[in-house]
Amino acid sequence: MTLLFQNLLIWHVILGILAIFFSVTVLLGLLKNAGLKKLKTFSLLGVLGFFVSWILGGYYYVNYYGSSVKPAIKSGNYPWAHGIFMETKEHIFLFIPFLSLVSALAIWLLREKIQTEPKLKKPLIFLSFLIVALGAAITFMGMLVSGAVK
Amino acid sequence: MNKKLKIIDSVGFGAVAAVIFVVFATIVAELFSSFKDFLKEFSGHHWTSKGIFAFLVFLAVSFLAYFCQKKTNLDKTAKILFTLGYVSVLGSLAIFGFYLWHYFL
Repeated sequence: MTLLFQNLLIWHVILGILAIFFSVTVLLGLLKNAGLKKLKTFSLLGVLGFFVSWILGGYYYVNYYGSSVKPAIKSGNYPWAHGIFMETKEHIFLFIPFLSLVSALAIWLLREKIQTEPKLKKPLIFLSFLIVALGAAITFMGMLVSGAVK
Repeated sequence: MNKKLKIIDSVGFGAVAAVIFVVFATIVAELFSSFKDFLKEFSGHHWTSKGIFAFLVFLAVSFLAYFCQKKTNLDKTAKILFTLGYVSVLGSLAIFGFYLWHYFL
């Protein structure tokens, strides 16, 4: 693997995990009535993290994974790691930036209203939880796929 | 306030449409090779094309929803946000279930 692809993969993972961490902070902030400034900052960082991780991981996936890693997994002892988990991960990853964008936009536009209005707070907590849960699920799948490479 | 809710409703609709598009495009591309070939030809890789089209669907539906919506309120916005969550959960399960079935078939 070239240095470029190594870096792309490392930063894809780091930014993805950071984005999940920021989303956890938003979730806890909503649950514990944290300040608006904190919610706005972390929701924005979450969106940026997911989008940049998406682009870096996507470039690695399209230009390296398919030609070098995928054949090794498919001919190895754990072909299901690609056939089930990588296929699922790469497509669920397409949802997450949209979910985090909608959540961040709601926080930025509705401001204090999200803390004082339960009708808005509940769905935002649900969305934030979902971003964290889906992010954690695809991180786990990524670990599984990495472990399946010979 | 109403204008801000309208923006959130619109991007919520856009995101719901993008998620549904990704689920359908993913499953249809695996079942019909001609559709997968079209996606490959469009950008060089089927996954890249799905991402590009999902983003375009998101933008188109968001703009359309913004200009078509007349009135909104907190209840409607909450419903749209919940719907986005439920559609994402079902979409994730559909994709996982499909690849599970596809692998063992």
